[in-house]
Amino acid sequence: MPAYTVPVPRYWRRIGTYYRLEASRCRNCGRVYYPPRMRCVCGCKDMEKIRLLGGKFQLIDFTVLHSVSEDFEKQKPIFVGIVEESSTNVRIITQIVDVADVSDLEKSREVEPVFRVVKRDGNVGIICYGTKFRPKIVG
Amino acid sequence: MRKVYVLSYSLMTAGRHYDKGLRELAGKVLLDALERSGSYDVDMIVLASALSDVVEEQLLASSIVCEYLSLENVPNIRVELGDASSGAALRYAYELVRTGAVDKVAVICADKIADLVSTRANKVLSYLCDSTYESYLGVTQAAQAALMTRAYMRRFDYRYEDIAMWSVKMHEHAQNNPHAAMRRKISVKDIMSSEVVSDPIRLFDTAVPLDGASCIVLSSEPGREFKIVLEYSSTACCNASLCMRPEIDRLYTLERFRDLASKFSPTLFELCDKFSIFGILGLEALGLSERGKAPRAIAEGMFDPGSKVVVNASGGLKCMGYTVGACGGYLTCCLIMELLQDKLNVGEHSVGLVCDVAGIDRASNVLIFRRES
Ligand SMILES: [Zn+2]
Repeated sequence: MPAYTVPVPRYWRRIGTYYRLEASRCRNCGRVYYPPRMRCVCGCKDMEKIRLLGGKFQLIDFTVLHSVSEDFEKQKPIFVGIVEESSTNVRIITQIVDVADVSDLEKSREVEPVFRVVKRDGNVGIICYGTKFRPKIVG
Repeated sequence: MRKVYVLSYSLMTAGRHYDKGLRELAGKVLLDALERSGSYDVDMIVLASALSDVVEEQLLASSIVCEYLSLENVPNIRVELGDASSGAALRYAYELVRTGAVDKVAVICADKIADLVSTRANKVLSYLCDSTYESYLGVTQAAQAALMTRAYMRRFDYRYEDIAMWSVKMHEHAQNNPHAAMRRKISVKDIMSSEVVSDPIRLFDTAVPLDGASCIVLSSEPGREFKIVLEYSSTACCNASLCMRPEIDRLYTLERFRDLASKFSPTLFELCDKFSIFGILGLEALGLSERGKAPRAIAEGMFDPGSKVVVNASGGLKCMGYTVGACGGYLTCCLIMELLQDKLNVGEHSVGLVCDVAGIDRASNVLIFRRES
């Protein structure tokens, strides 16, 4: 196995989307895309960058994934969920964390973005971060 | 446009072929199929493989396979469309023969995955999702299939046991298939007591990743032994993430082939069932079952061998193994065997349909074969 697998530029160029959930919004029809797109389904190429990070998110559904891929062995099982940002209707498939009890997810359908380590790339590679979601803490 | 015939085919039972690399797997089925075609002369080799570079660190894999059989001057190419590479390669070969670009082409469908330990295999298979935005956060194909399953169960008020009946049926069918890797009967109880892959999907309800290879030779002229025409081949795509679709429990790509059923009247089907939900949604997408009713139809045995319409008499990918880019090759070879009533005798049928599905419904290829007397 190589000592590291993630080339730094491949990670660095995603910092905006990974850390701030930068999406693209069509200036013609208002559709929003995450991951960002260069061209909208309406045909318009005039896309502006917006941040989903401050938005309000609902959990649509989730699954508990036990058979994880190798980067996530130490975290298993992981919760994989679909969340929807309410003002744009953008849906993201993502990791849900800080779940004390599965029933929390059934009850607490509102979730919030949280900045977390995603994986550590071997012994000499970089530590990769990203935005995950957790059941919203009230109060 | 010319007619396209199946000249010959060959397949090896999928398994953990630790003693064979891609060249040995692909070389063996190519050799067998060419010998059965009556000649080593072939105008083109098309290799369907999703993983030759990832698992074997080999680009130009199709050239290496040709070298292994000393086909030193035969043009070749590799086709990759994830786990629907086989259908895409067959379609490409079909177009080559149909348009007159070549007369005889061998399509090899081969992949190796069993060399990898399970967590590494899970990672490689997660490349079927969006690597930058989905796999990066640990999302896998199984997790997305689990979300599809949950949505379907909730919408139509099914229990997981109802969904898992697909697997039970596949194991029943596989008992008659000499090329099925899994031929032992299983019960819903066996499935429910196996470990959870991604809630609610359990291990015994998934197609096991295995190494496999098959070969189908297409030609503008029929062979002496049988006459099977590849009558239609097409691809439909849905280039969007699962979560952005209006309903996540539908196979939109396959729905676009629904009118083929009335046009060609196939009565034999081999559908992609890498997860049970794909088999169920495939039945509904193609109009073989009403939306929301497939699990009941399956349990009643409506698609068992001997029925008017027979689906996955082979035991499907569930029992033949999930051979990634090679999946469609197995479904195709079995459909040909069923049409010929060769080893897989499921009754008299003359038209059959095969489909494979790439990733979470990003693409599907449909092939329609007709046996001529
Ligand atoms: Zn637009």
